[in-house]
Amino acid sequence: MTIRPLPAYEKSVFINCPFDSEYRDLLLANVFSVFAHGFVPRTARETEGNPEPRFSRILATIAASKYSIHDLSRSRGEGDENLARLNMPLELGMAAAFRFERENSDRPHRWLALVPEGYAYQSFVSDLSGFDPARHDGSVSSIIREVSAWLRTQDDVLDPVPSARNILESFPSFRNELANLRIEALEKETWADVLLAASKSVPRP
Amino acid sequence: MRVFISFAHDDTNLAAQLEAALRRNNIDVWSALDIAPGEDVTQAIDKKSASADGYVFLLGPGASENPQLRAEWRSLLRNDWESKKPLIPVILLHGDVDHDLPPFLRNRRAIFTTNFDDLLHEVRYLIEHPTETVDHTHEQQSKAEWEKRRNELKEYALSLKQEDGAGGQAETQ
Repeated sequence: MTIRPLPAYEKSVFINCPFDSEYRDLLLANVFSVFAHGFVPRTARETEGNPEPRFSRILATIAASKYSIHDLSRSRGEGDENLARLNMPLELGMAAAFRFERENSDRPHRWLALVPEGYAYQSFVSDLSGFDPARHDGSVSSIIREVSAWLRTQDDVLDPVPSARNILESFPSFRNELANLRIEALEKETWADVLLAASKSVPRP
Repeated sequence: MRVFISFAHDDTNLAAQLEAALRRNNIDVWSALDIAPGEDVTQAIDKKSASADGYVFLLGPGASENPQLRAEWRSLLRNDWESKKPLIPVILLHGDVDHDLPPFLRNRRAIFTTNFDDLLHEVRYLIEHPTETVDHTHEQQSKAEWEKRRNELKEYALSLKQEDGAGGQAETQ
C-alpha cells in the first residue's frame, strides 16, 4: 500500500462552507479560486470514509492548513423549525483558536470569514467586528472576487496569479469537467474529482 | 490616469506631499486624505479605488502587518478585477530595516529612495509608462512556479483518486 503525501502546510487552505446542492456553486467557486492561486483546497470531504469522528477529522485538517476560509452566510434560521446550521461558526472558532495559539510561532494560521452583504453579521456574530470579514452577495463572481483579493495578500501566494475575471470566465469549464467526471463515476462524485476537474480547467496567469 | 495613493498613518506627511506634487503635474490623484469629515472611510476607499486606473503603495517598515493597510489593499485588489491596473510600490527607507514587498507586489518594480524629487520623478515615469511597472524576469519565474504547483496539485488529486475509500458518501455541513 502506498502512502499519499499530505499537501504542504503553507499551501493548504481549509474551506468551511455548506456542501448542499443549493450552495454547491459557491463551494465550487471557493475551491476553484483557491486552486487558481496555487493552493490546495481542503475540506472534510477529503477524509470521507475515514472511521474517525468528523469533528476530529476537521480539527486535524484545519491544524494541517495555514489558511482557512469560512462562509457564515448560511448560518441562519432554515426550514419549518427555523434552525440554524452551526457547524460553520464552530469550525471558524477552531481556526480562530489556532490563530491565537500559534501567533508568532512557525506554524501561524490565517483565516477569512465570508459574510452576507451589509452589516447584518454585526447582529448575529458581532465578535467578527474588527476582523474585516469579506462580504458577498451570494453570487459566484462575488465569492471569486473576495477570495482572490484575500489570497493575493497572503505570504505564500505566487505573483502573478490568474486574474479574478479569468477565474470567473473559466468557472463554467470547471463545472463541465466536473459533470463529465461525475457521469464517468456513475454519479458518485469524489473530492478527488473536484480537484482533478479544477486542475484541468484552471486558467494560467 | 486617475491614481490612488495607499499609505499608513505614519506616512501621512509624505502622502500629502506626493499627492500635492502629482496634482501640480496635472495627475488626477486621490488618497484617504481626501475623505470628507463624516464620510464612510471603507465606502470611500472602495469607490475611489474602483474608479482609479493605477495604485501607488507607500510602504514603510511593518506595512505588511498593518491591519488598516491590509484591509485597504484587499479593497484595491477587489477593484483590480482584471489584474491590469499598474501597481507601483514605493519602499520608504527608514534606517537599516529589511523590507518585504507584499505578495501581490513581488513582481513589480519597486522604487527605493529617500529623495523626494527622485521619488516624484520615478512615480510620474511609471504612471506614464504602466507596462514598465512589471518586473518581467520575476514574472516569468513565478509563472513557472505556478505551473509546477498546478502539476503538484494534479498529482495530489490523482493520488486521492487512487486511494481506497476516497469516494465515500457526500457529507453535509
